[in-house]
Amino acid sequence: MKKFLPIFLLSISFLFLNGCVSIKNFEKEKNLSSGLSAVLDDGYKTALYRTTIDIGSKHFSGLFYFKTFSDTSYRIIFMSEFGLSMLDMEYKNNAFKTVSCQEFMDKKVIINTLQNDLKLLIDLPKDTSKKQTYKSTNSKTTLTKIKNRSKRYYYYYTQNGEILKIIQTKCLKHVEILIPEYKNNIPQKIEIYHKRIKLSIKLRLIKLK
Amino acid sequence: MRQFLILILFMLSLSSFSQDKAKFYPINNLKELEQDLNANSAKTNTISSDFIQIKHLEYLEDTIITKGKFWFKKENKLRWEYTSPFKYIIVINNGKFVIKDKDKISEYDINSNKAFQEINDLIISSVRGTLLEEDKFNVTALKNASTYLVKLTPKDEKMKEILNKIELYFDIASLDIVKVKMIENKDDFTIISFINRKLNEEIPANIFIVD
Repeated sequence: MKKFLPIFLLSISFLFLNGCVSIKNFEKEKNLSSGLSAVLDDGYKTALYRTTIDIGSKHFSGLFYFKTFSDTSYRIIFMSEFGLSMLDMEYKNNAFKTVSCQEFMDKKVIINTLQNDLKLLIDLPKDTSKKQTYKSTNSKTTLTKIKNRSKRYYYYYTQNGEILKIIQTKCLKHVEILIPEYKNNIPQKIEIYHKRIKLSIKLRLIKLK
Repeated sequence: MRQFLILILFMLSLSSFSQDKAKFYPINNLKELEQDLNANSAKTNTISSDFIQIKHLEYLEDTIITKGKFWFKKENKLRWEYTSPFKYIIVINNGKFVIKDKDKISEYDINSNKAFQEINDLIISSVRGTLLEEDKFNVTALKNASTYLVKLTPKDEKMKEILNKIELYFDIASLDIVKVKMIENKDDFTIISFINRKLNEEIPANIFIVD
């Protein structure tokens, strides 16, 4: 038992340190600028995404509407197919403000989770000073790892800057975002998976202005 | 100059005429309108129609337009299908809500949940134009030359938070519902307009089955 405890603690600490994200097949790059920008930060006035949310065995659907403003703020509304707004949020100066929320969605855990995921799409971490860039051994993908307090961010992107995957870890939390399809630098599909809670959110672009 | 003045006056009079035509005046005999609408609904066994749904985001100066079709069969069968810009089907049949979202089909027992019952009542009553019968709303009615406008304000405060007001627009000649306006707050509302409406035509049974 005494022998087992240090091994257990060591493995747990590795788990926390690395957040289970493997960076094998990537090599450190010293002089590579990351040239990173968020997936949905600009290049459109409004974007409407068909959205499905699966929590455990429950399935929900609706539409996510994104609007960009010249002051780099955003308005994001989650609405039902019938057009009723369920969650209306404003993002400005690295922070979300809830404009309105239907009672059934007005739970801290739901709002915080959605806002965290959306922030990963529209903005980069506030502090990107502690970052390291890696190049895949086949040179096709670049990985930028950012440390920000207790959070770790992993951005996998192509040579022309299209982000293919984002991983965010914090202690035991693990969010993975896949962007399998782009058109004119705008993601056509976005898939968000929470590894330790059975939650997945899928977005498909249906209208862009 | 005189000709120009006459032209301006003519245009102003045209504009005030069209405003008068659109302007709604209160109806005193609400009971009579309710009876007429119920009689019209009673002789309607099936409805099929296209619809255009426009969500207005006033503050954001934007609209979101969706289109689709619906079929209704007395007493309680409905297929509400969005066809553009996405596909999404809701069917109400045999006491069940069936939702088809892409390839995923979800089924809910309407009686298992009070919210489902209320949604069912709201959708069916809106389509049939019998929402006035519901005792969940405070009702006021207005009319102009071509249209009855019935304004419904939810009595329940929780429902009011979701929908501040519902406005139903009926054609005066046919008493058919032509438009539903769902007002969420001062900035946002959704208008569903019904077009190519066909009454009492045979609807195949498989329309109300999702597979």
